[in-house]
Amino acid sequence: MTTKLTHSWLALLALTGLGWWLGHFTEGSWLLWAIILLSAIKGQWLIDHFMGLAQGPKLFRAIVSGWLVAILASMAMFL
Amino acid sequence: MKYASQSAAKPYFAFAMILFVGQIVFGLILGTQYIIGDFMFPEIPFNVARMVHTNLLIVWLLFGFMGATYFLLPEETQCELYSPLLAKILFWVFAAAGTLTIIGYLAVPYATLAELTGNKYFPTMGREFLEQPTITKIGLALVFIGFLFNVIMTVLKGRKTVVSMVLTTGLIGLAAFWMFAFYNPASLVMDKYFWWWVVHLWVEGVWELILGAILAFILIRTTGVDREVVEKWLYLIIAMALISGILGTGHHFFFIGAPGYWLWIGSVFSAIEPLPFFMLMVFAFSMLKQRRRDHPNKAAVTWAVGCTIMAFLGAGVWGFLHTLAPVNYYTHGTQLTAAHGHLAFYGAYVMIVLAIISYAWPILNGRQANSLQAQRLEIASCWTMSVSMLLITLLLTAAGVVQIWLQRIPDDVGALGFMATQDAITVIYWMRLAAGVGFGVGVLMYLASFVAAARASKPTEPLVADVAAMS
Amino acid sequence: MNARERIHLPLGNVATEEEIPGDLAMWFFIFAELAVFALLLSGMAFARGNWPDMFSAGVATLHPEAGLINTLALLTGSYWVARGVADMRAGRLSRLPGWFYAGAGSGVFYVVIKSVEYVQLFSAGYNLRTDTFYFFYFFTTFFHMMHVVLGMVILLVVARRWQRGVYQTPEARRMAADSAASYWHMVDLVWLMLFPLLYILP
Repeated sequence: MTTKLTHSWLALLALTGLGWWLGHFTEGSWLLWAIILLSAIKGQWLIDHFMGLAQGPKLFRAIVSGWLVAILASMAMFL
Repeated sequence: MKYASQSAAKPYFAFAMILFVGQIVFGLILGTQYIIGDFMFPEIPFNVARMVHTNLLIVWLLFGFMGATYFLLPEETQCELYSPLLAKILFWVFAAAGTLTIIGYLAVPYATLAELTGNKYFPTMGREFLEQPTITKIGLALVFIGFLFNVIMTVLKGRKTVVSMVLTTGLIGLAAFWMFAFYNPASLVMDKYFWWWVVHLWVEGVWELILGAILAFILIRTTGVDREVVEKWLYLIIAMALISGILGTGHHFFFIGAPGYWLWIGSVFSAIEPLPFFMLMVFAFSMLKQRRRDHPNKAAVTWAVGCTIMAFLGAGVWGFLHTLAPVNYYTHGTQLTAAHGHLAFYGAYVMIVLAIISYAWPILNGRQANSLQAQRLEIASCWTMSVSMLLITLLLTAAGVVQIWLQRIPDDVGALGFMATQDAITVIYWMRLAAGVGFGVGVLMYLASFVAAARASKPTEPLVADVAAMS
Repeated sequence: MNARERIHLPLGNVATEEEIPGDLAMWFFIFAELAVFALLLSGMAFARGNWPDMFSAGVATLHPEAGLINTLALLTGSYWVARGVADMRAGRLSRLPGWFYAGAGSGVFYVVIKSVEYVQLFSAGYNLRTDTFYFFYFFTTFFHMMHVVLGMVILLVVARRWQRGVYQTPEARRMAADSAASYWHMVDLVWLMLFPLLYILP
């Protein structure tokens, strides 16, 4: 349990660093999708492992994940 | 009745009901004037009737809140009121000030009233809902302060519960925001801006705390659910109501000269305002589901639960309909606003005051609940009033849609003038008047149920002792 | 905590399938908060698409390093709080307050960094009324910061009450810890969306 949390935490830090590094590039539409994908993965990990919704009611996980998708979709849609 | 000083609530409730009847009478006059413009002119012109209708509403709700506070505070704090005498004196001051003001509105032209009351020395009159002469406003402020003093001293000496804390916070806010009624800057923009600090921050801010506290009290008493569970819900609902309600003030700052960012703030936060009302509804139903006993006063429970549903519809759904800035650009100040105003006030505040009166009045008269027949009549009155108000709301919504369609959406050339548009919705106004009569019948049924109960039953003291023992 | 209680703990604290992490009322509150932020964030994304030049110019005045540091701080704080909950579930009750205090500490760190950013921007002459970008930047991040503060208060209250032994039953402990932690994670989740919108996306 604890090791899994620690791994999630380290992975989240690493992905944040990766995203920050990607932000230094200014060209290419792949960049946009890469950053959105990274945010999606980070958000879902937080929801599943820190919030503990992986074991929680499916409806709750669906609502919070749905929120995540809606936010990222609105980012992708307007950019 | 567990504490003798709870009876301080009685005159407040009784006077609230008298004013309620008055409000409905003037509502019917107004409904007629929408169709027959010079009905009762020159005795009661439209502007006076409207002023009386809205002022009576606010004042009787305030009487209701004060009565509710005097009733529930001793039970919550488990001690007598600090000063029942002060409560009695303030009642007469408030009732006299209110009555004189209404007589002033009706007896002389508004400009004469302003002159008679010396408005020129400290001008605060002439603003919608804040039409009261300055001396009445000062009197109200003194009543609020005296009332608060009584409340706070009672809370300080007794048990502190979340319900009494939330209620007191709401009442402090009510008094504090009233002070903006005295701020009357020359700039119209500034005037409107701070005017909403009274109007909006009352009904969509601190009054919601009062509503939450009264509802929580009724639910604790009638369902027997643990205080802890109720308190936790109350905290979160209040937090949400304040987060959305305070910043939601922004929806009044559209197109009045306030900075443009209010378009965003107002739209976003008032779009959230339905949520605390939704939580209130979930709260009421979940308490009902977890109830540990069946309280004999079914009518009070009907009012309390009905209140959360109608508040969600009126304040939540009908508010949301026209709250987004791009929508409000077209709907600003149309009959849609009137539709929302009617259902929101009825659902959130009228029904909660009727609920606490329904719960408290039998107890104040020495019985746990009204007789079954009386309760049946009362529940029927709840349905009559609620259905009539829903009809009024739906009809005014239809009127609003037609108005927006004919008057607001077309460009300069195609748009119908204001009066021509009003003529086009006359039929809807007739139907609205009929629904208004239905509402008046509901009010009479409500009052009749208490008369029937008083006639039918003798005080049943043992039952009252049971209530005391259980609580 | 007596020995008898310790024996019963594992049973009471094991998370079962489909169990809500925290109180239903708290989760309603969290959903409501998420709804507010959904509107603010999508409003911001919409404005960004509508006025790309204004947003590019605005983003260029922010410090991505501050955003990065704050993201790492909040993620670490969330991790600490999650560790506290994990310890509770494993029956190591006395460890939870320490983790929660640490989590609140990460919040303090976040607030300090954010305030420094505000002061820099204010002294450079930017404020809420400068343009739509700065409205969204100041308003949304400040509103979020207030939630960080509220989350800190909740964590501190629960940790303090925990130490004073207010939560007597396993159920009460689970409810308090999970509710506080869930709220804190929600605040973190919102920041994870604000971070790319404000600091990373080109």
